[in-house]
Amino acid sequence: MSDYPDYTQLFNLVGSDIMVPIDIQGAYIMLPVDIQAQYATLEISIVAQTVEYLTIDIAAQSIGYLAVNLAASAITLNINLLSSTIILDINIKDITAGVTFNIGNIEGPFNIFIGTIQTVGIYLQPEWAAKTGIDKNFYAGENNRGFGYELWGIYNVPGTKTLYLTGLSFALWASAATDSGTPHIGVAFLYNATTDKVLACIGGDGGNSVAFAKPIEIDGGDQLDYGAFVEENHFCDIRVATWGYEVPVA
Amino acid sequence: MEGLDKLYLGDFNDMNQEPQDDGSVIITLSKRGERKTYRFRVKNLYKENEELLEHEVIETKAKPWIEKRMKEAKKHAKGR
Repeated sequence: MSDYPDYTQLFNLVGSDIMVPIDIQGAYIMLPVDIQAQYATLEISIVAQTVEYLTIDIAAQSIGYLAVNLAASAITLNINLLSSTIILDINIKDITAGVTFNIGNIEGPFNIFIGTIQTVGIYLQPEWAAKTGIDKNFYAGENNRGFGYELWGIYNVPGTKTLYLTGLSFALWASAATDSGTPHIGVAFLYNATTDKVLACIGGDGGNSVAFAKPIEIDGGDQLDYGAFVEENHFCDIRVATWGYEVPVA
Repeated sequence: MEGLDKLYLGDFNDMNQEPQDDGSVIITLSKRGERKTYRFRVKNLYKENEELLEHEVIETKAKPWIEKRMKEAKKHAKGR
């Protein structure tokens, strides 16, 4: 017993209904706990200058709530999974307010190492939006329209959301066979009717398409007008499309 | 009415607008996975005197003969 501190109390409790409040205060504390029960509630609050060693092993049929909050001047958190087969599922779904992973200011390198692996999927936000069903696609069309005709589609972004547009395209062609083989000049615009700002414009013979290098942001409550004009001296069928994604305001 | 609600909530993936000669616009909204299309005609869209003129909900199903062929193809694949 020479390795034990100056006070040691061994507990060995066996019963059908046990409640043991523990309040221990000392300069040095060593507390091995081994709990085996059908139902267990365990709250551990540790305040110490130095936590030298902490391990939690949980095996249960169901875990209702598990939170790990770490605050210290320096933290090393190792999660080691060692098995011939590992399934690591992090499922975050049915969240309308969005999910944010915050990594604060990092002055040193931030590395993600992915070792030997068959496939890794990394999505840019527009791709992820399509995969998760928050993408938006807007179209408008009209047939048999002459020079100067303006085709417009409009959409008011809900106040709780922000719309990001990532592309614009239009197409026009002769309505009558007699006009085929001639140029079909047209132009297309994105316009914020609330702020009175032209957001994008393209033109071309027979149509054109552009994918924006950065998304065009339209605030909730603003009206998007997307349009295409016939700039040809014969009648044309005309279409315009713009696309992007819409997310709830953070 | 349901389609117009979806428009104001932004609860759709695809929207098509067809301006009409009388100043109204036919709007078609759809959302992936819902298997429904909302088609409605609105006059004075987004204006104070906006008026819903027509509204229909169209169930979008695969064509029955294609569904039948898909089932047959599955059977064939199992049999191989």
